[in-house]
Amino acid sequence: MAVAIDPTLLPELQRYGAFDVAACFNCGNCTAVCPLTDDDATFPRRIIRYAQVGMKAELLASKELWTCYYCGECSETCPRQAEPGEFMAAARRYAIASYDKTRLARTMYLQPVIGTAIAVMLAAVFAMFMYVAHGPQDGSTLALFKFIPSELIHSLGLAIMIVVGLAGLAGIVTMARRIARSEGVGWGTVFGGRAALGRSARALWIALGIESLGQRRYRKDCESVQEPVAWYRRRWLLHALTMWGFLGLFGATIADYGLELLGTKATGTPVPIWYPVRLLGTVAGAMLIFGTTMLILNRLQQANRSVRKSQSADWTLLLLLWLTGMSGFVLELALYLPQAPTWGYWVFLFHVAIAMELVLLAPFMKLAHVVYRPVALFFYALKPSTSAG
Amino acid sequence: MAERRSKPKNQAATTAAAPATPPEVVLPVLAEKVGVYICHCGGNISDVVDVDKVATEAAGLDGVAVARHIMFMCSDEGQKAIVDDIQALGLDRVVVAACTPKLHEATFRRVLQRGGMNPYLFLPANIREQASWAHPHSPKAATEKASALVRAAVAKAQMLEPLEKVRVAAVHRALVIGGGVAGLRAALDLARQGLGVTLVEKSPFLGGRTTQLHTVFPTEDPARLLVHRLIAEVKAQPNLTILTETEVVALTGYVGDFTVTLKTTPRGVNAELADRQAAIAACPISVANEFDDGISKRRAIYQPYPGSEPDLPAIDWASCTRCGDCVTAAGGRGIDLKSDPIETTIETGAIVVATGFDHYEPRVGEYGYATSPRILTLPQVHRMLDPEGPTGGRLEIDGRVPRSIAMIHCVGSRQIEDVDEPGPDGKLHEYCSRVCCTATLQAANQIRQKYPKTAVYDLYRDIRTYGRDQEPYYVDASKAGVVFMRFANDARPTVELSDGADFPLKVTVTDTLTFGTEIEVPVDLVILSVGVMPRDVTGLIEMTHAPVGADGFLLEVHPKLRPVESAIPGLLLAGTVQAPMDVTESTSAASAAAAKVTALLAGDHVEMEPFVAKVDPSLCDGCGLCLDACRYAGAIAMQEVEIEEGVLEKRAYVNPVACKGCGACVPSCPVSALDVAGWEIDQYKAMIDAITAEPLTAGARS
Repeated sequence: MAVAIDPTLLPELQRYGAFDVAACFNCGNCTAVCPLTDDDATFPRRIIRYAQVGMKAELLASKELWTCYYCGECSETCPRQAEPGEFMAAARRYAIASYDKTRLARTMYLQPVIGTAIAVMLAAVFAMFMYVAHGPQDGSTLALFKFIPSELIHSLGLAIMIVVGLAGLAGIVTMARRIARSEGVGWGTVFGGRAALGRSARALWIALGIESLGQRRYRKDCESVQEPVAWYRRRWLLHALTMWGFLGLFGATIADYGLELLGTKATGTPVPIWYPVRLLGTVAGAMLIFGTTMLILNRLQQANRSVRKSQSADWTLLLLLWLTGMSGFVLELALYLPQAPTWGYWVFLFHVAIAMELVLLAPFMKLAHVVYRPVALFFYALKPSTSAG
Repeated sequence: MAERRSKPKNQAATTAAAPATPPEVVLPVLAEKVGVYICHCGGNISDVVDVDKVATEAAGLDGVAVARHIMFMCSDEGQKAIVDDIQALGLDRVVVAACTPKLHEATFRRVLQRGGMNPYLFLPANIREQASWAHPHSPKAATEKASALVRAAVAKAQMLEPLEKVRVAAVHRALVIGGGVAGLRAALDLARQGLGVTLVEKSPFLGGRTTQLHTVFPTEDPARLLVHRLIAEVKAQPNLTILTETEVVALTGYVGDFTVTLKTTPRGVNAELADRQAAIAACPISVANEFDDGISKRRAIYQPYPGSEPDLPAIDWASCTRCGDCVTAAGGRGIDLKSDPIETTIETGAIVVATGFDHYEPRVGEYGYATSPRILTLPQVHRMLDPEGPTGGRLEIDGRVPRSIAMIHCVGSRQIEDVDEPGPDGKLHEYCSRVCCTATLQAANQIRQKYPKTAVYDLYRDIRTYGRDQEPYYVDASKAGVVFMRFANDARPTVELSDGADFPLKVTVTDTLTFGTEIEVPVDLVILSVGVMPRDVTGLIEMTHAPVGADGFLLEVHPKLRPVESAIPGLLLAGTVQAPMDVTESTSAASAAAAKVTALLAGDHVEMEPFVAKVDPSLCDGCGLCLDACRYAGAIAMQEVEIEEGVLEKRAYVNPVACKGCGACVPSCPVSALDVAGWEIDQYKAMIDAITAEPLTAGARS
């Protein structure tokens, strides 16, 4: 079957940041030096070729996009300064925009001014919405949930989660179907029989547990080619802290709501610092703040190859995460001050609005990789066993 | 051979005029004092061949006065040894057993001259290429073979006779055939050296194919400006005659003194023509314009571009109907419809052939050629990209800029049997045309620069930007986003018309750069990078007997040692008549050819090697069979010779300047009256006897 190509693919991709990839002459040095590439996942050369030639369907069906963590070794080695690492990042942006049917992600990426305006306005709308519904500000203690009723926050949060869940699911399905077709993976391969189920469970564990949460290859393989830096500035660690912090905060929020639903503890009830849910939130917040602060610093200093070029999408995500973490932390401080400061209420409003926006925009921005990457890693983990069997 | 100051046909030949003597058996007088010198070649020979043994054996041969082995015979020490021996021992023949004669035969001949001997009494024996290098692992056999070669050389050397170079009085004029960039360059160089030059151009305009280009790589000079600068210099030369619409129709003579008949067709237009636009507009004829490679039309009275050289229209007599409309429009002045050609004859000492090339024209249907106006050749696209060309530099089809273009390399070049069909000329073009890669990339860059939204796909088998400053074209092309796809040697892309689809053409290629994926490229335009074809110069080849290569281009004597000389003395090759070349290489070749001519005609005489046929008039019975065997005009003739008082008979006569010494006549003679000086049959017999005098071991026979 001949592959029909799309002459507009490369110019389109270049809008997402792959400016230099046209200079590539397909020598394959990038693939040769890449610590992650193997027989089952050859990149960046293969993916660059798809882009140059205009093989759009093949590009979007490439799990390899998401097996790269952008160590930048390929860009360092490229004899043509074609920036293959930056290309991979651009291709991921393009993929996020393409898997999203609402075209919101596309706008966020390609029109940074409008994208930023949307982000600011969205936060403002949430804040306004909650402000309109706000209650009294208690002067003696920070009675936050009297100021903004916890029911309002919970129901708004749930609504946002449903929207995000649907959008994320649509993206995952789009992506998974493309990859599955190109990899020759069908329902039977994943669910057909005990052996298949076992294989799938194993692949799921590798994708989610070992690789996503455990960051195994990011930690081991990518680190192996990086210039040595202080342990607390290692890319994988900063990324892991940010991820764990984000997940920890997310988990603490859900758990807090769960406790209220169970009637164990009403939201907003003052608890000591060792109270498990609160402890989780505090530790996770510290991780997130440290991780994002260092990541921002790295980008500002252009500390390594992978952050030599930054897009507005990179800044938006880091900034939202950092603001969420910081505002939460400031709020935590305010709660422990002997005299309740009035500004605490406004920080709270800001914190809730930013957090909600972060979650709502997740499928339409860089954060979407938290779902796409595990899906790709799942197929990657599945493949060797299927070809063996 | 005796010196000849004028044409031998007007003068009795020395050989033929010798008094006839009654036949008597004359035993050859063998030379008695042969000097034999064995070269070590610094180990190249002596590491394998036991040179001491070879020298000792040689010293024992009859007639050998001295045999030595020396580290480097070509060194001062080696040369001095020969001169000293000649003077001290009175050597009468010299054999040097060393490397190939192509390297140092001339060196050792000069050594003999310095020693006071006739240089043709020297004979080389090649014991490097033919012994030590050929049998590096069999030293014993190699030594035996070297000895055998030396024995043979001594045997032949003993029979060598002193020879004199053939000398011809030189006409200090050169004819340059072809008014393109190579011909112009050659003509200019020749004229500046003080030679009279006649430059003939078949078409009505000078400048050739270069004028069809807008810019030339790698300098990106404006091509026509470049050519016109050259033309201006050519025209400024006082001893240079330019004849346009002129062809060579007959050629006789030989190096130093050719007689050439030229046929000049009248231009039909002269400087009195006041309103050329009106005259051209009046012409009712419309034919394909060759200057635009057929993408535009022209009239029968035409000018390829404003400011052409000469800056005067010409009439294409093949399509003109002599209706007279142009004459009327011009007010009866400046146009003459009488087209009878004029023949003139010139004498010239040498000829520079700069007849140029033709573009390969694809077969109908080859990559879809001629089945759609959207499938063009690169030369046609060059015309479209030329701001002064027929489209004003706009690359548009049906008024629209192509959104996507495929360029296919090696069309009509590097063709492979059973993969490619022969071209319209019925031949496979197996050679690489060399210039098309860079030309294609140059055009691709121009297109990307001019139309950044147009996608360009470059489909190649192999790609080379081989010349100085040409690699940037490839770098620029890939940086400019030209997409390269590579097809395998045995798989060609296909071009299909896809009516009704968004893109009217579909090119399918199995791209080895995309892991062998079969890819369909939707395009608006296909550009075929057609190769360089030898132009049909059959008439010239028949007149000159110039050797032609298997590829159809004229052949040089040796690509490295004598790169611009044809095997025909006095016939030089300049530019693409010899092989595909770019402008840089063509002008280099032209300057080289001009330098060769200058050196050839520098003195009053042209000297040539004396290895030509000779007739023994005492044996010749005038049968004339040798005339049929000879392929060089005027080399052998029959002359009336007075064999006795009052008895005239025909005898063969060899004109030593026309004879090339090929030896084809020798076996044709039933009475063995013919031989080639320096390569005589008796000498060969003696060599064979010498080689077979001692049995060789198996290893030395190969």
